[in-house]
Amino acid sequence: MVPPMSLLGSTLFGGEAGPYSWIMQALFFAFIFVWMFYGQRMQVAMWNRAIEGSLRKLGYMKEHARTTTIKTVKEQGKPEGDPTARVDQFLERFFIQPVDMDPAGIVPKFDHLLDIRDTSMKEEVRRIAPKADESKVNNLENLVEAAMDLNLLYRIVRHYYLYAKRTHSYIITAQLQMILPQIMDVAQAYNGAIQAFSKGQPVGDGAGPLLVNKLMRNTEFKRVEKDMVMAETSLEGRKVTVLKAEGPGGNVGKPGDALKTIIDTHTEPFSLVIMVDAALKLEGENTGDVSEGIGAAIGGVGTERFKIEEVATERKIPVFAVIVKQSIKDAIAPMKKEIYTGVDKALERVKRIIKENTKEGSSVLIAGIGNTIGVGQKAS
Amino acid sequence: MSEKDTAAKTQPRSTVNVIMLIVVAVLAIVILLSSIFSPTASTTENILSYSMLGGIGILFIILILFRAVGRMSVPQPRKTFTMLQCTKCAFKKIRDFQLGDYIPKPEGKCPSCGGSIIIEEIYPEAEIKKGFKLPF
Repeated sequence: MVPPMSLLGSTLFGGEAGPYSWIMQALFFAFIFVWMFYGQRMQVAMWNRAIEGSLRKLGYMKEHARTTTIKTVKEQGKPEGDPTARVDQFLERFFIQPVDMDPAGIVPKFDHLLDIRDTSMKEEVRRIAPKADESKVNNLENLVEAAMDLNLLYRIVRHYYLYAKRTHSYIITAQLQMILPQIMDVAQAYNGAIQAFSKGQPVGDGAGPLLVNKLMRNTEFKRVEKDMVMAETSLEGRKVTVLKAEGPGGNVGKPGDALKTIIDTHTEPFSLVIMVDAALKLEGENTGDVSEGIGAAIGGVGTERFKIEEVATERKIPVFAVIVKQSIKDAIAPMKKEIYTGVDKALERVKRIIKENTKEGSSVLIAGIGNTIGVGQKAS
Repeated sequence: MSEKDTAAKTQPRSTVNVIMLIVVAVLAIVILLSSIFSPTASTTENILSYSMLGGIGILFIILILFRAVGRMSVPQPRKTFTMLQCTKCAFKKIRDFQLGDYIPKPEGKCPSCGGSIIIEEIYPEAEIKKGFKLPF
């Protein structure tokens, strides 16, 4: 009797033709035909598997953000009832941008809507966390925003995944699978932000406020415009006005309005405005590297940048920018050691710019742009 | 569509995957062993063919296992430290982050010079780079 192993050998790799040989050949041709007609479906199935995996991770992150938010609201806000239902409603909030068919005058409209959004979100946080102080309300608002963004990412990916499956649209599946690495990067950044915002730790985006904090620690500060503070100090023999969002709660403030007010009310004209901000690094660059340039270094939708550019143009004030490079993940995650080193380097760069571009005794305005969470004002 | 439906649709098919992997692994090992022990694998050509087929099967299994291990995981929260520094001397102290810490929160007097100690840095522990990663 012939052992099965020898049969397999003779059929697979040559030898006498027999029933097994025919079976193997039939299987081979069947494979070719299946691959011809169902190859694309198999590819789509593989893409769908990848999307399902990412969707599960997104679902986990979204749920983690939600439970952390509810836990933090309970701990810091001490609400009387269970805040879960209100938090869940909060996570579904949306923002409708102003119509841009006729773009003239869109900036004030945008600014108005953003103000309303910010105020209403703070009010809502105060309602669900009545015992939280101002600083904690700001942190909670940031936390809820991160949870909202994760929730939105999850819902959008799930929508396109299910839509593509329902309509058998392999183009949508392919596009979704191709863009997933970028989506997951953003999601992981928000996931890191949850830790920072729930505990009030400084984030990478706070590089600008941290630099300004180093200059204003031993001086008196005063509030200017919404959620912004300023102080007067001296640096390299120049009179320096520094500006940042009010901390240590999570806050970006309205630097455009504050800068305009300071420039309008300052007794002497400013010779120079320097804006310090965190900026996204390109792949291959190091976190904490510092670069300088010209222009208003400020992110967001552009309303604040518009105001700064307008007032600088009107008064003919040169605007310099110093940036501390970091990835999107670093920007909203707890501030890394490399960014602290970057802030020190940026401070040296600011001093050099002041020395090279202004005369002794002139006035300079330094604005630290970014989220000031975990970074206060005075060391007392 | 409810979240439950989606969760059901996105459930892992891990049992099927494991069974398929076991079948491939057993086949690969049997073919590889047969290149040594089977009486029909006596010719050099057959030995080479058996070994190649078995080897490819084993490589496939190793590749799948590596990919499963190296798959992107959800990052876990990292420990955060607070660095205290004297404003007058070089005294530094590092402790675990406590709720309410911020830069530049005053933290008492310096034990060596009597100056003020403030929180200078709040940072997470350094990321540990995973050792081996496949380039694909």
